[in-house]
Amino acid sequence: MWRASHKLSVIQNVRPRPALRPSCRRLSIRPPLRNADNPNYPPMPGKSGDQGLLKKFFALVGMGVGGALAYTWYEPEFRTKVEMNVLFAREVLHFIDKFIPPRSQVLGDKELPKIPWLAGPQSNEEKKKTPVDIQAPSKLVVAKPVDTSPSPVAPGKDAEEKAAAAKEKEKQQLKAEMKAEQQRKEKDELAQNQALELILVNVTEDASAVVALAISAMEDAVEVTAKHTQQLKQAMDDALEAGAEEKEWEALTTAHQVKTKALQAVESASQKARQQLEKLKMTVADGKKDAVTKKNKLIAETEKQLSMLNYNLSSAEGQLNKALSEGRIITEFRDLVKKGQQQFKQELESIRPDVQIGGRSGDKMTEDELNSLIAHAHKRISQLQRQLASQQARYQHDLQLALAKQCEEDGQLAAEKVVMEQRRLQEEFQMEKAKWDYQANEQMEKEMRRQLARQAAAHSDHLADVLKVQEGELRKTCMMECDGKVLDERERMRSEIVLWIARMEGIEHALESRADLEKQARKAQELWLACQALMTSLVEGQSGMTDEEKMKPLHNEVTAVAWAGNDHPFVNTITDTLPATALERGVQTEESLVTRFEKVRRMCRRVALIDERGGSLFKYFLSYAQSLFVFTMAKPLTDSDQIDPEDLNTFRLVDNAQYCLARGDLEQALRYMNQLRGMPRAIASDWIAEVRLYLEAKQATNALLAHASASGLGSLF
Amino acid sequence: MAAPGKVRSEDELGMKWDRCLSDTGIKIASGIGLGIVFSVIFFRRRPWPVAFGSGVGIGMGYANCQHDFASPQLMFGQLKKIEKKASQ
Repeated sequence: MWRASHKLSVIQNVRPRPALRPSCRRLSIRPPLRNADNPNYPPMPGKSGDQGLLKKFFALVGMGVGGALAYTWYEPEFRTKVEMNVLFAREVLHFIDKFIPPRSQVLGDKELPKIPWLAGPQSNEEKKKTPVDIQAPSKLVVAKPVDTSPSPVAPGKDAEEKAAAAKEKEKQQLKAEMKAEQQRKEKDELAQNQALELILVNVTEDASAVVALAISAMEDAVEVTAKHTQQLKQAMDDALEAGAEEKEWEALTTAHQVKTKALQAVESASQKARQQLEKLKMTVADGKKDAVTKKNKLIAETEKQLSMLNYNLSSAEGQLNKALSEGRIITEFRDLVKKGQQQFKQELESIRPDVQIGGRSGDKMTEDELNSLIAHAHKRISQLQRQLASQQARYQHDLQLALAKQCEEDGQLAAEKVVMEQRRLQEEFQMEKAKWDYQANEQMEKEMRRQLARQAAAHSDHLADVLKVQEGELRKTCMMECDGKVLDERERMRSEIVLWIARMEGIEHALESRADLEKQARKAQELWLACQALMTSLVEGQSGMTDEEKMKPLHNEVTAVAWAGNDHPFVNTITDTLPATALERGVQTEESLVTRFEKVRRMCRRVALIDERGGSLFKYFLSYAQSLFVFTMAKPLTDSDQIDPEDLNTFRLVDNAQYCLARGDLEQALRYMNQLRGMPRAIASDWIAEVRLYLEAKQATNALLAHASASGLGSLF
Repeated sequence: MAAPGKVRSEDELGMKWDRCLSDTGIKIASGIGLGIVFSVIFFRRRPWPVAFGSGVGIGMGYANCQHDFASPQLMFGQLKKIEKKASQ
């Protein structure tokens, strides 16, 4: 819409001016078009001189204006359009803004994302602040763990539950671990963020410095170019009017050189600035790519600054381009003028080749020359008139074309500008959106944390109550069950213990009896050994020459036996019955008794006739003689044999005893010998006593041995 | 019974015989000696007092032996022995 109106305004403006001045283009950028409140451009065609109709017209106009104002208030995009297109609209709107509240306060923040550029000035202010507030985000990040830390620990009521103290402790430990981990993580993030911030700040500073340099260079270049253009124009005007002046041209040349230099400087500066901006962009992209530093506030700031720098650079470039294009137009104009002069010169030369215009100013021209010149001039005038006519005819057409071209160019420029502005606004919008996102996120997170903490507290309270009740119930049932189980177990244990005690007693008893047995066996062995020693000393005696020397007192052996017998009544009785002689003097050995028996037998045979009262010598002689004539009369007897005491005489008794002794039957021999009467009896009395003593001791020893063997065997089985 | 150094019962008879023979020998020798003395001093060296002396000696010895053997209790049971027996 505004293009058409712009075209119209251009036509209106251009018409009174015959030549197309470059300065008019500048005016055309802000066309003085009045849209709604233009009285020359009424929206309603109805028009009459009636008073009522006039009122209606004013009311309609007022409504239209009011509606437009309301719409500008509601839709900032429209407002910008109005400000751009309607003269003084900006001032009027600003004036109105003082009396009505801003849109954001009335409509709230919900629709704010739709109109991001409302916050434009704020963002600009913040942009200015950024170098000062670089530490702010880091502070925020540092403060974050302090804010978050109490929230996980918040359910402090849990600590009141004494029953769950251990669990709580564990939980807290876990929490502390988690906290520590989180803190470490946050520390890492903080470090990364700080590094990124440092890089961003550095790069931004560099970029802004370079961009400022480039912009200043561009401004210089614009100034120089404008100067150059002005000088060129001046020179050309002077040249047209009064011919070229050397000085001016020299100045022009130097101005041209200066301009070229400035352009070169601009080129290099802008290249540098572009590179730096690219670098900054890359850095920002890197920071955004990283998940840790994505949320950093400084990135948004930097982005904002980047877009701002971009915008500044682009606008400076646009200004430069504008200046350059003006210069080009002037140059084109100069070329055209030069071309026309040349053409005129050529024409003159073709008419009068010999005439040199201005060649000889002092000489008078001939008539011919003058005629021809006049003719030529005449012709030229008519030609020029024709040309003028045709030019005038073409003028409209060319003007139309030029206007179209101008329009196109302006449109292009405007489009470019619009695109640039749009981009800038979009970027700003994006940045603002990101910022709001961030803020909203943060706030929501905070809110959520608080809610969560509250919910967690409530939940934990509820949980604690329920758990208490449950705990009571469970404890009751558990106690009951436990009591029952304990009773059962106790009963079982008791019975088992009784069983085991019985078994233990049995085992103890068996062990004791076994030990007794062993003891008895040992005692029996000792007794047996003692008895064996007694028997050995009884039978063997001791080493000696005579029978008396061979006798060994049995006192020690008997004492040992009595000790080994352990005061056994049997052993005591037997040891007591042992004759004192045997204990003190000893007993003759069997061998010596047998040896002794031989002499006893001989003597008994020799005194066989003599009785205990003795006899005469003759009787002794007779008895001796009888013994010489009596041979052995041994008549062995068995146990079953009947014995006639009368039949037993001394010889038979002695021989039987000898026979028995030869068989080793000392007892039987003693029995035979005990039957002796008279003098033989007296002769054998000592031997009989000895043998009896021996047999007594032997019998006692055998009894002890038997006892020892018996007790030993008893212990064995 | 028999204490060490005491005579055994079977050796009593032999000892009795020893005692008798020694007694008889002493008595014969003393009889012969007395006979020789009497014969030299009183009977002018006549042989009969020597025979008589020896005869008396033999007779005395025999009588002693006879007495000894005839009373074995006395022989066996000497006073000491009886005392000892009584003490036992």
